[in-house]
Amino acid sequence: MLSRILFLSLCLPTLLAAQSQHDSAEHFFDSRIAHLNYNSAEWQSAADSALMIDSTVGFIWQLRSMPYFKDGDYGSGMQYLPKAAQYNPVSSLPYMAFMKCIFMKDYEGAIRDFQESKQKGYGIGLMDHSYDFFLGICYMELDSLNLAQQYLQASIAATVKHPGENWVHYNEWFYMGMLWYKKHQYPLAIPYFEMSLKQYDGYPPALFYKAQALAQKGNKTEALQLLEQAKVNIAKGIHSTEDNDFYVNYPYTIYAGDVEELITVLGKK
Amino acid sequence: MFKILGFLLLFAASAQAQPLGAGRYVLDTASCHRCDTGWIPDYYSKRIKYPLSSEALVRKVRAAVVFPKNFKGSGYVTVKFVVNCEGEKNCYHIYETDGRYQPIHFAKEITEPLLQFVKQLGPWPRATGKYRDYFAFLAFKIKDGVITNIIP
Repeated sequence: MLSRILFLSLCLPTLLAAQSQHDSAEHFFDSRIAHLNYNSAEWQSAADSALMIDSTVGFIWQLRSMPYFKDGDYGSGMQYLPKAAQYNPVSSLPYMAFMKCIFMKDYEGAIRDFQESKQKGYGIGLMDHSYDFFLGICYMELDSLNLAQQYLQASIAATVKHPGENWVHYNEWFYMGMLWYKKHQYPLAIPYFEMSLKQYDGYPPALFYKAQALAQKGNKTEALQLLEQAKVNIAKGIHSTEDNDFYVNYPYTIYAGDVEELITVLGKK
Repeated sequence: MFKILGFLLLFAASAQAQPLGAGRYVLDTASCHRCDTGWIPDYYSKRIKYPLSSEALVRKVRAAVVFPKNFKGSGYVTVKFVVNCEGEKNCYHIYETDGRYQPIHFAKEITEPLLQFVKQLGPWPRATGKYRDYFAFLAFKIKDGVITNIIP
Protein backbone atom coordinates (compact mmCIF):
# COMPACT_ATOMS: atom_id res chain seq x y z
CA MET A 1 0.00 0.00 0.00
CA LEU A 2 2.77 2.37 0.96
CA SER A 3 4.65 1.53 -2.24
CA ARG A 4 1.55 2.34 -4.30
CA ILE A 5 1.17 5.68 -2.58
CA LEU A 6 4.84 6.37 -3.18
CA PHE A 7 4.53 5.36 -6.85
CA LEU A 8 1.50 7.60 -7.40
CA SER A 9 3.10 10.52 -5.65
CA LEU A 10 6.11 10.19 -7.94
CA CYS A 11 4.01 9.86 -11.12
CA LEU A 12 1.42 12.46 -10.29
CA PRO A 13 3.54 15.54 -11.04
CA THR A 14 4.45 14.07 -14.45
CA LEU A 15 0.82 13.25 -15.24
CA LEU A 16 -0.32 16.69 -14.15
CA ALA A 17 2.42 18.32 -16.22
CA ALA A 18 1.40 16.30 -19.28
CA GLN A 19 -2.25 17.26 -18.84
CA SER A 20 -1.24 20.87 -18.37
CA GLN A 21 0.77 20.78 -21.59
CA HIS A 22 -2.17 19.17 -23.39
CA ASP A 23 -4.54 21.83 -22.10
CA SER A 24 -2.08 24.56 -23.05
CA ALA A 25 -1.90 23.31 -26.62
CA GLU A 26 -5.69 23.09 -26.92
CA HIS A 27 -6.21 26.51 -25.36
CA PHE A 28 -3.54 28.04 -27.57
CA PHE A 29 -5.12 26.54 -30.70
CA ASP A 30 -8.68 27.52 -29.77
CA SER A 31 -7.64 31.07 -28.97
CA ARG A 32 -5.77 31.54 -32.24
CA ILE A 33 -8.22 30.09 -34.77
CA ALA A 34 -11.39 31.82 -33.61
CA HIS A 35 -11.65 34.16 -36.61
CA LEU A 36 -9.52 32.30 -39.09
CA ASN A 37 -10.46 30.38 -42.22
CA TYR A 38 -9.04 26.86 -42.05
CA ASN A 39 -7.60 27.26 -45.53
CA SER A 40 -5.45 30.19 -44.42
CA ALA A 41 -1.76 30.08 -43.62
CA GLU A 42 -2.45 31.57 -40.17
CA TRP A 43 -4.83 28.75 -39.24
CA GLN A 44 -2.34 26.13 -40.36
CA SER A 45 0.49 27.87 -38.51
CA ALA A 46 -1.63 28.01 -35.36
CA ALA A 47 -2.17 24.26 -35.59
CA ASP A 48 1.53 23.64 -36.14
CA SER A 49 2.43 25.86 -33.20
CA ALA A 50 -0.07 24.13 -30.93
CA LEU A 51 1.43 20.79 -31.91
CA MET A 52 4.85 22.15 -30.97
CA ILE A 53 3.47 22.71 -27.48
CA ASP A 54 2.06 19.19 -27.31
CA SER A 55 2.37 16.84 -30.26
CA THR A 56 -0.02 14.28 -28.74
CA VAL A 57 -3.24 16.28 -29.07
CA GLY A 58 -5.12 14.06 -31.48
CA PHE A 59 -7.92 16.41 -32.37
CA ILE A 60 -5.48 19.11 -33.52
CA TRP A 61 -3.82 16.58 -35.85
CA GLN A 62 -7.32 15.73 -37.11
CA LEU A 63 -8.22 19.36 -37.75
CA ARG A 64 -4.83 19.96 -39.34
CA SER A 65 -5.58 17.28 -41.91
CA MET A 66 -9.09 18.42 -42.74
CA PRO A 67 -8.46 21.26 -45.24
CA TYR A 68 -6.36 18.98 -47.41
CA PHE A 69 -9.13 16.43 -47.85
CA LYS A 70 -11.48 19.19 -48.93
CA ASP A 71 -8.81 20.28 -51.40
CA GLY A 72 -8.31 16.85 -53.01
CA ASP A 73 -4.78 16.67 -51.58
CA TYR A 74 -5.10 13.29 -49.93
CA GLY A 75 -1.37 12.74 -49.58
CA SER A 76 -0.97 15.83 -47.42
CA GLY A 77 -4.07 15.03 -45.39
CA MET A 78 -2.78 11.55 -44.66
CA GLN A 79 0.46 12.97 -43.25
CA TYR A 80 -1.66 14.21 -40.33
CA LEU A 81 -4.74 12.04 -39.90
CA PRO A 82 -2.97 8.81 -38.87
CA LYS A 83 -1.31 10.82 -36.07
CA ALA A 84 -4.76 11.81 -34.87
CA ALA A 85 -5.78 8.15 -34.88
CA GLN A 86 -2.59 7.27 -33.00
CA TYR A 87 -3.09 9.82 -30.19
CA ASN A 88 -6.87 9.88 -30.03
CA PRO A 89 -8.00 6.52 -31.37
CA VAL A 90 -11.44 6.48 -29.78
CA SER A 91 -12.78 9.24 -32.00
CA SER A 92 -10.10 9.71 -34.66
CA LEU A 93 -9.79 6.10 -35.82
CA PRO A 94 -13.47 5.90 -36.83
CA TYR A 95 -13.15 9.39 -38.30
CA MET A 96 -10.18 8.26 -40.41
CA ALA A 97 -12.23 5.25 -41.50
CA PHE A 98 -15.04 7.59 -42.53
CA MET A 99 -12.64 9.83 -44.48
CA LYS A 100 -11.20 6.81 -46.29
CA CYS A 101 -14.69 5.54 -47.14
CA ILE A 102 -16.47 8.73 -48.18
CA PHE A 103 -13.73 11.22 -49.10
CA MET A 104 -11.01 8.99 -50.51
CA LYS A 105 -13.03 5.96 -51.69
CA ASP A 106 -10.30 3.81 -50.09
CA TYR A 107 -12.73 1.09 -49.19
CA GLU A 108 -10.18 -1.54 -48.16
CA GLY A 109 -8.52 0.95 -45.80
CA ALA A 110 -11.87 2.05 -44.41
CA ILE A 111 -12.91 -1.54 -43.73
CA ARG A 112 -9.73 -2.17 -41.73
CA ASP A 113 -10.25 0.96 -39.64
CA PHE A 114 -13.97 0.44 -39.06
CA GLN A 115 -13.42 -3.21 -38.09
CA GLU A 116 -10.69 -2.20 -35.64
CA SER A 117 -12.95 0.51 -34.22
CA LYS A 118 -15.72 -2.04 -33.68
CA GLN A 119 -13.39 -4.62 -32.14
CA LYS A 120 -11.93 -2.10 -29.71
CA GLY A 121 -15.30 -0.64 -28.80
CA TYR A 122 -14.60 2.85 -30.12
CA GLY A 123 -18.24 3.86 -30.28
CA ILE A 124 -20.89 2.54 -32.65
CA GLY A 125 -21.25 5.24 -35.28
CA LEU A 126 -20.50 8.69 -36.61
CA MET A 127 -21.90 11.23 -39.08
CA ASP A 128 -25.48 10.00 -38.39
CA HIS A 129 -24.74 6.39 -39.30
CA SER A 130 -23.53 3.19 -37.71
CA TYR A 131 -20.17 1.66 -38.54
CA ASP A 132 -22.16 -1.21 -40.10
CA PHE A 133 -23.75 1.26 -42.54
CA PHE A 134 -20.34 2.44 -43.75
CA LEU A 135 -19.02 -1.13 -43.87
CA GLY A 136 -22.02 -1.99 -46.02
CA ILE A 137 -21.17 0.85 -48.41
CA CYS A 138 -17.51 -0.20 -48.55
CA TYR A 139 -18.31 -3.80 -49.38
CA MET A 140 -20.93 -2.72 -51.91
CA GLU A 141 -18.41 -0.52 -53.69
CA LEU A 142 -15.95 -3.42 -53.71
CA ASP A 143 -18.71 -5.59 -55.26
CA SER A 144 -18.81 -7.92 -52.23
CA LEU A 145 -22.57 -7.72 -52.32
CA ASN A 146 -23.37 -10.50 -49.85
CA LEU A 147 -21.16 -8.93 -47.19
CA ALA A 148 -22.66 -5.53 -48.03
CA GLN A 149 -26.12 -6.99 -47.50
CA GLN A 150 -25.10 -8.42 -44.13
CA TYR A 151 -23.86 -5.08 -42.82
CA LEU A 152 -26.61 -2.89 -44.27
CA GLN A 153 -29.27 -5.23 -42.91
CA ALA A 154 -27.59 -5.23 -39.50
CA SER A 155 -27.51 -1.44 -39.50
CA ILE A 156 -31.19 -1.14 -40.36
CA ALA A 157 -32.19 -3.90 -37.93
CA ALA A 158 -30.42 -2.16 -35.06
CA THR A 159 -32.38 1.05 -35.68
CA VAL A 160 -35.68 -0.79 -36.17
CA LYS A 161 -35.11 -2.50 -32.81
CA HIS A 162 -34.44 0.84 -31.16
CA PRO A 163 -35.73 3.49 -31.59
CA GLY A 164 -37.93 2.15 -34.40
CA GLU A 165 -38.50 1.78 -38.15
CA ASN A 166 -39.48 5.43 -38.60
CA TRP A 167 -35.98 6.42 -37.48
CA VAL A 168 -34.17 4.50 -40.19
CA HIS A 169 -32.25 7.06 -42.26
CA TYR A 170 -33.47 7.51 -45.83
CA ASN A 171 -29.99 6.68 -47.13
CA GLU A 172 -29.97 3.38 -45.27
CA TRP A 173 -33.10 2.37 -47.21
CA PHE A 174 -31.64 3.84 -50.39
CA TYR A 175 -28.44 1.81 -50.22
CA MET A 176 -30.38 -1.37 -49.47
CA GLY A 177 -32.25 -0.59 -52.67
CA MET A 178 -28.96 -0.03 -54.48
CA LEU A 179 -27.69 -3.36 -53.19
CA TRP A 180 -30.59 -5.24 -54.80
CA TYR A 181 -30.32 -3.05 -57.88
CA LYS A 182 -26.67 -4.05 -58.27
CA LYS A 183 -27.73 -7.67 -57.88
CA HIS A 184 -30.20 -7.01 -60.75
CA GLN A 185 -33.04 -7.92 -58.39
CA TYR A 186 -35.21 -4.97 -59.45
CA PRO A 187 -38.49 -6.10 -57.84
CA LEU A 188 -36.59 -6.34 -54.53
CA ALA A 189 -34.88 -2.97 -55.00
CA ILE A 190 -38.03 -0.94 -55.66
CA PRO A 191 -39.62 -1.30 -52.19
CA TYR A 192 -36.43 -0.02 -50.57
CA PHE A 193 -36.33 3.02 -52.85
CA GLU A 194 -39.94 3.62 -51.86
CA MET A 195 -39.04 3.39 -48.17
CA SER A 196 -36.33 5.96 -48.82
CA LEU A 197 -38.86 8.25 -50.51
CA LYS A 198 -41.25 7.77 -47.60
CA GLN A 199 -38.56 9.10 -45.29
CA TYR A 200 -37.42 11.83 -47.66
CA ASP A 201 -40.12 12.74 -50.16
CA GLY A 202 -38.73 13.49 -53.59
CA TYR A 203 -35.16 12.41 -52.82
CA PRO A 204 -33.65 12.52 -56.33
CA PRO A 205 -31.31 9.49 -56.18
CA ALA A 206 -34.19 7.27 -54.93
CA LEU A 207 -36.42 8.57 -57.74
CA PHE A 208 -33.66 8.08 -60.30
CA TYR A 209 -32.77 4.53 -59.38
CA LYS A 210 -36.40 3.53 -58.86
CA ALA A 211 -36.91 4.80 -62.40
CA GLN A 212 -33.97 2.72 -63.59
CA ALA A 213 -35.37 -0.37 -61.87
CA LEU A 214 -38.83 0.21 -63.39
CA ALA A 215 -37.28 0.68 -66.82
CA GLN A 216 -35.45 -2.61 -66.42
CA LYS A 217 -38.82 -4.22 -65.69
CA GLY A 218 -40.22 -2.67 -68.88
CA ASN A 219 -42.24 0.07 -67.20
CA LYS A 220 -40.83 2.96 -69.22
CA THR A 221 -43.80 5.31 -68.79
CA GLU A 222 -43.64 5.38 -65.00
CA ALA A 223 -39.84 5.55 -65.18
CA LEU A 224 -39.96 8.69 -67.28
CA GLN A 225 -42.50 10.27 -64.91
CA LEU A 226 -40.18 9.67 -61.99
CA LEU A 227 -37.25 11.11 -63.92
CA GLU A 228 -39.20 14.28 -64.69
CA GLN A 229 -39.95 14.56 -60.99
CA ALA A 230 -36.27 14.04 -60.17
CA LYS A 231 -35.35 16.78 -62.63
CA VAL A 232 -37.75 19.24 -61.01
CA ASN A 233 -36.57 18.35 -57.51
CA ILE A 234 -32.90 18.79 -58.39
CA ALA A 235 -33.70 22.21 -59.87
CA LYS A 236 -35.50 23.05 -56.61
CA GLY A 237 -32.32 22.21 -54.73
CA ILE A 238 -33.53 19.00 -53.12
CA HIS A 239 -30.43 16.96 -52.34
CA SER A 240 -28.83 14.72 -49.75
CA THR A 241 -28.74 16.14 -46.25
CA GLU A 242 -25.61 14.22 -45.28
CA ASP A 243 -23.26 16.61 -43.46
CA ASN A 244 -20.48 16.21 -45.99
CA ASP A 245 -22.62 16.39 -49.11
CA PHE A 246 -21.21 19.83 -49.94
CA TYR A 247 -17.67 18.46 -50.10
CA VAL A 248 -18.01 15.03 -51.65
CA ASN A 249 -20.50 12.77 -53.43
CA TYR A 250 -21.73 9.80 -51.47
CA PRO A 251 -22.01 6.79 -53.81
CA TYR A 252 -24.80 7.08 -56.39
CA THR A 253 -25.45 10.76 -55.80
CA ILE A 254 -27.01 12.04 -59.03
CA TYR A 255 -27.33 15.38 -60.74
CA ALA A 256 -29.28 17.03 -63.53
CA GLY A 257 -26.89 15.69 -66.15
CA ASP A 258 -27.55 12.10 -65.11
CA VAL A 259 -31.31 12.57 -65.30
CA GLU A 260 -31.12 14.22 -68.74
CA GLU A 261 -28.92 11.44 -70.01
CA LEU A 262 -31.29 8.72 -68.82
CA ILE A 263 -34.35 10.51 -70.18
CA THR A 264 -32.59 10.65 -73.56
CA VAL A 265 -31.66 6.97 -73.42
CA LEU A 266 -35.16 5.84 -72.44
CA GLY A 267 -36.70 8.11 -75.02
CA LYS A 268 -34.72 6.43 -77.77
CA LYS A 269 -35.82 2.93 -76.76
CA MET B 1 10.59 25.31 -23.62
CA PHE B 2 8.03 23.93 -26.06
CA LYS B 3 5.72 26.80 -25.25
CA ILE B 4 8.46 29.29 -26.12
CA LEU B 5 9.18 27.49 -29.40
CA GLY B 6 5.50 27.44 -30.20
CA PHE B 7 5.11 31.16 -29.70
CA LEU B 8 8.22 31.86 -31.76
CA LEU B 9 6.88 29.77 -34.63
CA LEU B 10 3.61 31.66 -34.56
CA PHE B 11 5.31 35.02 -34.82
CA ALA B 12 7.48 33.73 -37.66
CA ALA B 13 4.53 32.26 -39.51
CA SER B 14 2.51 35.44 -39.44
CA ALA B 15 5.23 37.15 -41.45
CA GLN B 16 5.12 34.56 -44.29
CA ALA B 17 3.34 34.84 -47.65
CA GLN B 18 -0.14 33.37 -47.71
CA PRO B 19 -0.64 30.31 -49.88
CA LEU B 20 -3.99 30.01 -51.56
CA GLY B 21 -5.67 26.72 -50.79
CA ALA B 22 -4.58 24.13 -48.28
CA GLY B 23 -2.36 22.03 -50.50
CA ARG B 24 1.38 21.73 -50.29
CA TYR B 25 1.72 23.73 -53.47
CA VAL B 26 1.28 27.45 -53.63
CA LEU B 27 -1.02 28.06 -56.54
CA ASP B 28 0.07 31.07 -58.54
CA THR B 29 -3.23 32.64 -59.41
CA ALA B 30 -1.77 35.90 -60.73
CA SER B 31 -1.78 34.64 -64.32
CA CYS B 32 -5.22 33.00 -64.12
CA HIS B 33 -8.14 34.39 -66.06
CA ARG B 34 -10.27 35.52 -63.17
CA CYS B 35 -13.18 37.90 -62.94
CA ASP B 36 -12.46 39.33 -59.51
CA THR B 37 -9.40 40.00 -57.38
CA GLY B 38 -8.74 38.88 -53.84
CA TRP B 39 -9.94 35.76 -52.08
CA ILE B 40 -10.84 32.68 -54.13
CA PRO B 41 -13.24 30.45 -52.22
CA ASP B 42 -13.52 26.71 -52.68
CA TYR B 43 -16.36 25.01 -54.54
CA TYR B 44 -18.03 23.87 -51.34
CA SER B 45 -18.29 27.44 -50.08
CA LYS B 46 -20.31 28.21 -53.19
CA ARG B 47 -22.34 24.99 -52.87
CA ILE B 48 -21.23 23.99 -56.36
CA LYS B 49 -20.20 20.65 -57.82
CA TYR B 50 -20.06 19.46 -61.41
CA PRO B 51 -23.62 18.48 -62.41
CA LEU B 52 -22.85 14.87 -63.27
CA SER B 53 -22.47 11.91 -60.92
CA SER B 54 -19.09 10.45 -60.07
CA GLU B 55 -20.25 7.14 -61.59
CA ALA B 56 -21.07 8.82 -64.92
CA LEU B 57 -17.75 10.69 -64.92
CA VAL B 58 -15.89 7.42 -64.38
CA ARG B 59 -17.66 5.91 -67.40
CA LYS B 60 -16.72 8.95 -69.48
CA VAL B 61 -13.07 9.02 -68.44
CA ARG B 62 -12.65 5.28 -68.98
CA ALA B 63 -13.98 5.74 -72.51
CA ALA B 64 -11.76 8.77 -73.17
CA VAL B 65 -8.51 7.87 -71.44
CA VAL B 66 -6.49 4.74 -72.09
CA PHE B 67 -3.37 4.30 -69.99
CA PRO B 68 -0.34 2.41 -71.33
CA LYS B 69 -0.93 -1.35 -71.03
CA ASN B 70 2.05 -1.84 -68.73
CA PHE B 71 0.86 0.79 -66.23
CA LYS B 72 -0.32 -0.91 -63.05
CA GLY B 73 0.11 1.94 -60.60
CA SER B 74 -2.24 3.04 -57.84
CA GLY B 75 -2.92 6.36 -56.20
CA TYR B 76 -4.65 9.66 -56.83
CA VAL B 77 -4.22 12.31 -59.49
CA THR B 78 -6.06 15.49 -58.47
CA VAL B 79 -6.54 18.19 -61.08
CA LYS B 80 -7.29 21.47 -59.33
CA PHE B 81 -8.31 24.62 -61.18
CA VAL B 82 -10.03 27.96 -60.93
CA VAL B 83 -13.53 28.42 -62.38
CA ASN B 84 -14.24 32.02 -63.32
CA CYS B 85 -17.49 33.90 -63.61
CA GLU B 86 -17.96 32.61 -67.19
CA GLY B 87 -17.78 29.01 -66.00
CA GLU B 88 -14.40 28.68 -67.70
CA LYS B 89 -11.74 26.51 -66.14
CA ASN B 90 -8.12 27.65 -66.04
CA CYS B 91 -5.06 27.87 -63.84
CA TYR B 92 -4.60 24.15 -63.50
CA HIS B 93 -2.51 22.39 -60.90
CA ILE B 94 -1.98 18.71 -60.23
CA TYR B 95 -1.49 16.82 -56.95
CA GLU B 96 -0.21 13.27 -57.13
CA THR B 97 -0.27 10.65 -54.38
CA ASP B 98 0.49 6.96 -54.51
CA GLY B 99 -1.65 4.17 -53.07
CA ARG B 100 0.01 4.57 -49.68
CA TYR B 101 -0.61 8.32 -49.61
CA GLN B 102 3.03 9.12 -50.30
CA PRO B 103 4.20 11.76 -52.82
CA ILE B 104 4.74 10.42 -56.32
CA HIS B 105 5.11 11.75 -59.83
CA PHE B 106 3.27 9.62 -62.34
CA ALA B 107 4.50 9.61 -65.93
CA LYS B 108 3.16 12.29 -68.28
CA GLU B 109 1.30 9.53 -70.13
CA ILE B 110 -0.85 9.20 -67.01
CA THR B 111 -1.36 12.78 -65.87
CA GLU B 112 -1.61 14.55 -69.22
CA PRO B 113 -4.67 12.65 -70.52
CA LEU B 114 -6.43 13.22 -67.21
CA LEU B 115 -5.67 16.93 -67.38
CA GLN B 116 -6.99 17.05 -70.95
CA PHE B 117 -10.11 15.17 -69.88
CA VAL B 118 -10.83 17.79 -67.23
CA LYS B 119 -10.15 20.61 -69.66
CA GLN B 120 -12.59 19.27 -72.25
CA LEU B 121 -15.44 18.80 -69.77
CA GLY B 122 -18.27 21.24 -70.34
CA PRO B 123 -18.60 24.55 -68.51
CA TRP B 124 -18.65 24.39 -64.74
CA PRO B 125 -21.57 26.05 -62.94
CA ARG B 126 -21.09 29.76 -62.47
CA ALA B 127 -20.84 31.18 -58.99
CA THR B 128 -22.83 34.17 -57.87
CA GLY B 129 -22.42 36.60 -55.03
CA LYS B 130 -19.40 38.43 -53.75
CA TYR B 131 -16.72 36.00 -54.99
CA ARG B 132 -17.44 34.74 -58.51
CA ASP B 133 -14.22 32.80 -59.06
CA TYR B 134 -13.79 29.58 -57.13
CA PHE B 135 -11.45 26.61 -56.78
CA ALA B 136 -12.67 23.21 -57.88
CA PHE B 137 -11.02 19.89 -58.50
CA LEU B 138 -11.52 16.40 -59.83
CA ALA B 139 -9.50 13.62 -58.23
CA PHE B 140 -8.98 10.40 -60.14
CA LYS B 141 -8.51 7.35 -57.96
CA ILE B 142 -6.41 4.76 -59.74
CA LYS B 143 -6.05 1.17 -58.62
CA ASP B 144 -3.74 -1.26 -60.41
CA GLY B 145 -3.75 0.90 -63.53
CA VAL B 146 -7.55 1.38 -63.66
CA ILE B 147 -9.52 4.49 -62.79
CA THR B 148 -11.93 3.29 -60.15
CA ASN B 149 -13.41 6.51 -58.84
CA ILE B 150 -13.65 10.23 -59.36
CA ILE B 151 -13.93 12.57 -56.39
CA PRO B 152 -15.83 14.65 -55.40
